[in-house]
Amino acid sequence: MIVDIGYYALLAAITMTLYGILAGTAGILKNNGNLIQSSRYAVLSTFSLVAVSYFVLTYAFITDDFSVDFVAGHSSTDLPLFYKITGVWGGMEGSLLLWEFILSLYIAIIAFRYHKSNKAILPYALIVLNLISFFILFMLIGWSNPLARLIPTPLEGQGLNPLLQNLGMVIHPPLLYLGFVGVAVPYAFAMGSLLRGKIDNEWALVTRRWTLVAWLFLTAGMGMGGQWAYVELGWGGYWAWDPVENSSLMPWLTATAFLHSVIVQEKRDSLKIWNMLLVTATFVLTILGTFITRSGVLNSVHAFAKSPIGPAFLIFIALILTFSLGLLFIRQDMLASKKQEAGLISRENSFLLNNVLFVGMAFTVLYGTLFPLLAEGLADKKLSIQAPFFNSIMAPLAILTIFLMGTTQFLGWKRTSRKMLAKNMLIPSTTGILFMIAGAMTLDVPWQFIFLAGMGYFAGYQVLMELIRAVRGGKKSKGQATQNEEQKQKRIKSLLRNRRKQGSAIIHLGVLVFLVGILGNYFGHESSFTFYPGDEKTVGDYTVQFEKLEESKARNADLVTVKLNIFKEGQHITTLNPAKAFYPTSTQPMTEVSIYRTLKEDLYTSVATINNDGSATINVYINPMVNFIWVSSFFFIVGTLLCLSYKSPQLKSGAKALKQEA
Amino acid sequence: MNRKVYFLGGSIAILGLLGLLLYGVFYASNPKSIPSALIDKKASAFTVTTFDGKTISLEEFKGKPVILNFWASWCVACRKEAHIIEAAHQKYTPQGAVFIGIAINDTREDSLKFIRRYGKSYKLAPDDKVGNISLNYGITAVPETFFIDKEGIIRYKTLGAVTADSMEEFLENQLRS
Repeated sequence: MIVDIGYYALLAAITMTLYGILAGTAGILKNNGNLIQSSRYAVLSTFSLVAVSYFVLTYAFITDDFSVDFVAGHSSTDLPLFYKITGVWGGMEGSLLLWEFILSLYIAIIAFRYHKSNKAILPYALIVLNLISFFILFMLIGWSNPLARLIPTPLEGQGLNPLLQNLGMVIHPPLLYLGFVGVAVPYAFAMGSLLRGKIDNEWALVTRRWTLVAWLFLTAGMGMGGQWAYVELGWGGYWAWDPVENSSLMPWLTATAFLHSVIVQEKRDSLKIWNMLLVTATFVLTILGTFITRSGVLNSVHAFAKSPIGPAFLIFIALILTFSLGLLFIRQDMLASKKQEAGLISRENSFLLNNVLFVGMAFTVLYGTLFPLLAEGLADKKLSIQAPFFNSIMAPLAILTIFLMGTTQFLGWKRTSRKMLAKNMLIPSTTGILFMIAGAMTLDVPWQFIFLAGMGYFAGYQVLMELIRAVRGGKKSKGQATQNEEQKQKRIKSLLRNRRKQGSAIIHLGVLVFLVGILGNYFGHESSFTFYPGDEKTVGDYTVQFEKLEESKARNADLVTVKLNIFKEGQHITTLNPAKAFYPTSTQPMTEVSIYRTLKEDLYTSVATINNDGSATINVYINPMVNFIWVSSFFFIVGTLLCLSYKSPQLKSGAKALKQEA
Repeated sequence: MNRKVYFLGGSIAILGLLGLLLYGVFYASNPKSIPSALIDKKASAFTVTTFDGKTISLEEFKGKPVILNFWASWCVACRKEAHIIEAAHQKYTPQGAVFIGIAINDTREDSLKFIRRYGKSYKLAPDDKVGNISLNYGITAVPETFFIDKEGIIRYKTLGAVTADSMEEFLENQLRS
């Protein structure tokens, strides 16, 4: 009964969305403010209806209503309540409902947040967003219905995949969806401004902020996903270039490119078509990612079965591309950039190169991800593309990108004076080269490592200098030892005023912290051995002693734990308890890893098998610097929040100020 | 002029991408299916004692199509396909098909619990202690399902939960001819 209400709510939601599209279009054509107003309120009711449907599904989970096919397939009576609530996004249909829930929330926010400041574009942007919402709702009421019934009703559900019963996995999908769906907003504003046919830089301002929001969630979502893979999958790593991981990386890369190139548009009034293309590409890549995840055309650990939703998404992608590029083609003259001369070594060109690199990386990932299809289609060969391909191409691109990160802020718009360049580059580049030579002579590492580390040092020096200069304030005048109170306040004011710049410096610092984590990989060490209770093995600086096997009960699983005593330099430092978890009657044993974490390195243990003769086979990994990867997330979050907290004066006073300025 | 060329080039690239995805959805093979050397070879013979104590051997079903499924009580996908195979059994066994499920790496008690829980009623047997049957069929993971034709030749093999469609297509074909 309640379930039916949820389904009817979806039907009503799709009707309201359709109404919103029609009312909005009619309002624009007839220039009728009431109709446009009404389309804004339609958005609000769509959101409420989708929310009803979402909570109905959650209710079905909580009450073990196995008459709902999705609940029967992703829950069981012995599942803890917490995981019943999060089980909603434990499968394809439910996660699509979460997707729509977030999208309709965003649309509602947009409709009421920007109806004054972006009055002209908003109706168009809402139509675009409603069209996207319409498609997702169409999927939800048909091919991907999370509330479909299962007859006859089973007494017990199939249970939630134990891999998903982990806090990281609970947070990871919603964060990623917040990012994925967030990308639709910049796209809608870009298309909205094209539809409107009158283009100023207004769209770029809103778009930049929302891209930042989406970027933040994407980054946090991927970080969470990596953390989940690290602690849950038991293979010692966090990123495997899996098609589904790649599909979250691709829009991240193009969004990053956009966040840089939009600065050029803002400051120099150029690259407009390019920015439109980047926004479109980012949005299409999120849909493509969804397609890859859900259509089952590529082999992935994120196992969704092959499903009829694939062709539908394909049609959707084709429609978006035709619509966006067609519109852009028609409107291209409006996006004409001012012809501006820029010297070879200028900030413009540095940003341009940065964009080429990011798009190049996105293309590499796309190519590698789809290559198995290409190989089968053209050569009838079954193969898969693994990490070496990606690493070999991404490393040089990353080296250049990091070099630019340390260079761009010291370049001037239009041209750079040699004096400036020499002044800012001399120390970091000479010490950087010395650093690289020293590294190459003393360490036994591939050239990529030397260059990545060298560029990291160079960029790190520059970013830190930039931050220090910002905190110190401008140059002190000669002969003045201390600053007086007034100057101090001025300094703080300018520090606050420039927080967008400092935010980006902090993000760049985060990139370098992340880089340290990646470089640690080169010194990683893994081994695997079988031993009996009482045995000892040496791994790196550690001695691993197998104390005993222990059986216990935890939550809804039975655990068989391998108790390990860890010694370093003769001292007992910790006890690790990697285990196999058996989820009753239902599932194959899961690997529970156990990690001894220090900032310098992780000692990571997982159980491969527990053998009948009482011995155990365990995998031991030493992962140097891996915690820098997780720490970098804090820099990204803090930096992005700083950027977001700053509002450009144009945005504050809305379109009016913008027009006056023009 | 110049710009038109760019747009044209972009459109062609995009059409190529869409074509590739289209191919992926409709024509490419299932990425999860791994080619098996056993396809089109004679199915290896075996004799087992079922959980309800009857002795069966593959030989005796010559002339009938056989769906041979390897499963275990601890496997997730096996729960998914349990209803599907049982439903196919209800429909096609009266028409002359044979369904056999071999439990591997499992305890007798757990297997029986699983059978009761999912109401499985076709021919179900444990593999022998050494696991000879699964070794002969080159099982790498459960569930795997072999489609054996009337002449005892393996025609098709799936890895992961078997689908109703694939069994239906195979059996309709076999039973009609």
